Amino acid sequence: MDTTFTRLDGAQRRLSVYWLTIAFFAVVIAFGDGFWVTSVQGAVGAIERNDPPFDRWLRDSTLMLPLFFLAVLAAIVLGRRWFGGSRSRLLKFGATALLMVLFTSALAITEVAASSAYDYRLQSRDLASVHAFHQTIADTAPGATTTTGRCVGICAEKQLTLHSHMKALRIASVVLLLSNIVLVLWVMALRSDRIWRSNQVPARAPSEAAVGRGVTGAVLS
Amino acid sequence: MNETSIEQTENETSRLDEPTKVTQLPRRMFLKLGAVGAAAVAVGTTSSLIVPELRRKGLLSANGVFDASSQALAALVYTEVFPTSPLILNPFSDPFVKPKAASPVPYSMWSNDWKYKPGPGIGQQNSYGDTGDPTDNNTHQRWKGYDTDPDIPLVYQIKAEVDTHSFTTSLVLPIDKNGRPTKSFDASGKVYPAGTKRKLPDSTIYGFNGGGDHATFPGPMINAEYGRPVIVRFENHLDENVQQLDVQDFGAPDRSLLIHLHNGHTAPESDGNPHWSMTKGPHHHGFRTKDWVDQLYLNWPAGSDDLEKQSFFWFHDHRMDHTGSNVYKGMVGLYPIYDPKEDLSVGPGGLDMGDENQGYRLPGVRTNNLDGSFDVEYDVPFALADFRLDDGVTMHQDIHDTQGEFPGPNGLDTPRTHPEWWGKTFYKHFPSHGFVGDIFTVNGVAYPVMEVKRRKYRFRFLDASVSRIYELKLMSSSTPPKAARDLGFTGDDLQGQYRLPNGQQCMQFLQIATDGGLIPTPFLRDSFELWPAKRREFIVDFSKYQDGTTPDLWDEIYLTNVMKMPTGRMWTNSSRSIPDPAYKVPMVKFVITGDADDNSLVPTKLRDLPFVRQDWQTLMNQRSIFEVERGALGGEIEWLINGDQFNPFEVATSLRNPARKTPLAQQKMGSNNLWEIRNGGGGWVHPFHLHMEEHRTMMRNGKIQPPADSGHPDDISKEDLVALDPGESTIIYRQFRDFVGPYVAHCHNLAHEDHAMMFGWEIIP
Repeated sequence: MDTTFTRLDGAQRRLSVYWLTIAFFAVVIAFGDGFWVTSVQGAVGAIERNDPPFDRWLRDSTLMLPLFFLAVLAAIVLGRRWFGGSRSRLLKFGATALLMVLFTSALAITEVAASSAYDYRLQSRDLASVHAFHQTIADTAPGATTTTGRCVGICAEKQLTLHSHMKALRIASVVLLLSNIVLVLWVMALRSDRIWRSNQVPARAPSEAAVGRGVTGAVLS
Repeated sequence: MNETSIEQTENETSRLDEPTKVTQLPRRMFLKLGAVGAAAVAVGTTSSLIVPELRRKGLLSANGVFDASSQALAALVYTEVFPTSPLILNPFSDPFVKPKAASPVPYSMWSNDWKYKPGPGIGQQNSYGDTGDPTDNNTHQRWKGYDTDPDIPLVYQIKAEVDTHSFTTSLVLPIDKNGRPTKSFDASGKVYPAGTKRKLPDSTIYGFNGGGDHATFPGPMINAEYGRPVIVRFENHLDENVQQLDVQDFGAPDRSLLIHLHNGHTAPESDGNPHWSMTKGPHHHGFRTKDWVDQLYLNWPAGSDDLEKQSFFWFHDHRMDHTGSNVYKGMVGLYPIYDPKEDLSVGPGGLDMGDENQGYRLPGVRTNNLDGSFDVEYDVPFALADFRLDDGVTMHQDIHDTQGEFPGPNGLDTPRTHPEWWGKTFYKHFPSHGFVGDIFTVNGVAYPVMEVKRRKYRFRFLDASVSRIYELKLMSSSTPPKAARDLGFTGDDLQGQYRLPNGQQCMQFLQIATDGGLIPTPFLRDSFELWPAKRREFIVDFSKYQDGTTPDLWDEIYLTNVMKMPTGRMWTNSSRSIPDPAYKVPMVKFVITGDADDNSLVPTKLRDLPFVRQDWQTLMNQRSIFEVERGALGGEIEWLINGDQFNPFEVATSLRNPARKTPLAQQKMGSNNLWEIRNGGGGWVHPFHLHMEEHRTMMRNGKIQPPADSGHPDDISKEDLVALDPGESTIIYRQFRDFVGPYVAHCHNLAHEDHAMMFGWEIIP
């Protein structure tokens, strides 16, 4: 255990971040975004995944937590590297917040897309069985013209289903972006003094440079 | 180094800090306090604004919050735009239509002239005849009920035909969703500028013709009597369309039909349910064009128990996947049923035979017709239905556009808008919430006027709407109804078109019956809810107001809907949730035109409830559990029961009950059981209908009844439809007698039923 903590502490120093702050960001954003991911699934998802949404939210958000942790970490580290030298506090914090919003939103949108793709796969499979007794395309209305060559029946329903998912994804993307802006700014307001660790400029500079080059191991030794 | 010391170092040296420490801490504190404060405000606002709304919709739970969010997203994903019907300019000028009793076919005619005669023989039940396969069930399972039944039932012939219907003779003003005058169109493509008053074109219906010149909406009314069986031969003539009418884009595309007598005690082959029709008989969603079926209504109470007698049925289409569109298109008929049996402990003569001098002495003056039918004056059915009329510019976005079922004039593309259908009925097959109209009709007429005498009437109410629930009151007003748009209302507030701004309740209803027939003890009501498919019967006494005064001649009283229901999901305002004093929509105007003899009595005691086994609670652990919920599957499969879509080829399976079993929805003939029907949430209400015998609600939300739940006072009676508020659960007592075979249970919000909220169950020998 001691070794683990020592390593974590070492990594924290190297990256000049507060784990607690990153964890706070990650938890808030993962569970906040998870709410929308679950909601989208409830709106357009497959019936096979019709389990209680609260349980699904807890499960999926928890599973996604490590990825959100990494996204937040990346945003903070890159924010420091790219904008740490700026004299403008607004630029430093604003750019880091923007990075965080972009990274976490991209991750959440990917999650929605993956969830929708899985739903679409399930739904496409089910449509065939549904068609067996819910549709009457074979029973053409008296006098109706044949519609050969067109995407009708299952084809059309799949298309419609796909369009629903695409539309839901577009809406979810906007909602996720907006909600992440609010969440990031909120956490930032609470933890702005705990985002970057102190920077003993002369001593830390090589370390930062090393991290930037991706040669962490060399610096550790 | 611990965090504090790091912070100290950082504060001293970091380039991120401000130059002076004097302002540093207050600003950070300010930010933190601001963040905490903002969160507190957000929580507070949520609590005050959203929580009550969630509570009202039954969504105030961990899962409910997600459901509410999903609903909001779904509303954005699935575009649902409805037209605003043109404003009827002269409401309450068309006379109220009371259907006359249909005439049976003379015995001499059907016994001599009909090629296929009704009868109990093998293959005689429908046009598919004897297929040699005994499982096809094209034979009447039981030809007689009582020993005293006549061998020969009364035979009616009802043809389903394409015809026209007019909702009003009034001129109309085309308006948009903001109530402003807008342009309109006609069938030839001519465009009329905004402000032009128009006459409505007739709508095309799939209607029932009970022997007259044409089909009507509602269809014929069969006045039936217990102990006098009836055969109705339903014939499908929907392919004939002799007037070459444009049948538009709703109604079963193959024009098949399946007729259900709701809720007659009938064998499956005469019940008209898709679990039967897909597995037997036509082996299809319904009876195709040129098919016929003899539906035998034995008019016989379940278990030969007089206490099981009912009083008001209706028959309607039940074609799988298109019940809503077929019913909306006109396939509705009425079937009051009377009881001529004498009970001397009540009084001489038939108990309830439409004669106020006999039995219970309920309002009604009976006239026997030469053809064997009879009419009853002062006994009036009210079939309520809401409609929308096409404005010519609203998109007909519908999943069925993708099916090629309703091709456009070029045979390929389904047009998205239909100016040529301006003023005709508009239907959307797949609304996420259900379908509600903005024109309210009674017996097929929008805003009729009914002349009444100062005496008692028996009113039989039926909600024949696709999704709308009504709450009705009797009101008088010092000022006439005003158009909602003239009062400044727009959007969904235009639903119902008219308001009675100064309306005040002036009379009460004396309730005498529910779906299951006469109730033991009549009771007074200020208002009552009417859910889809439900029936409620009342005595209304027009000889006095509730304050004891006598109405003057030409006094006007309005039957008024006070339940606001902008979507098919549930009401937003009603007396028992959040009353909206401005929402008073007059539907029928009663005008006092004189006096009439009245020999009817105000009953204090009517029919007792049938026996329920004393030890019913011992069945609790073994009960069958069915949960209705919302799912999603790209359109067609929107509504589920126990997580599954309707499969007409299978009997449903219960959720795990307290005995840890998942029994099939299969009951032995002669058995009884408890079924639990749960609303799985999502903020929808569900009128859940169970075919075959009436049930008794033994528990609602965990509480034993009686006393009945205040929101559902009709729970004290026997019913065929469970009214489920969001998140509610009911435990009902059911019996399974007299017939075997497949039946269904389903939500009677027809948009839900058509999208798979139904399950098959069966009675086995």
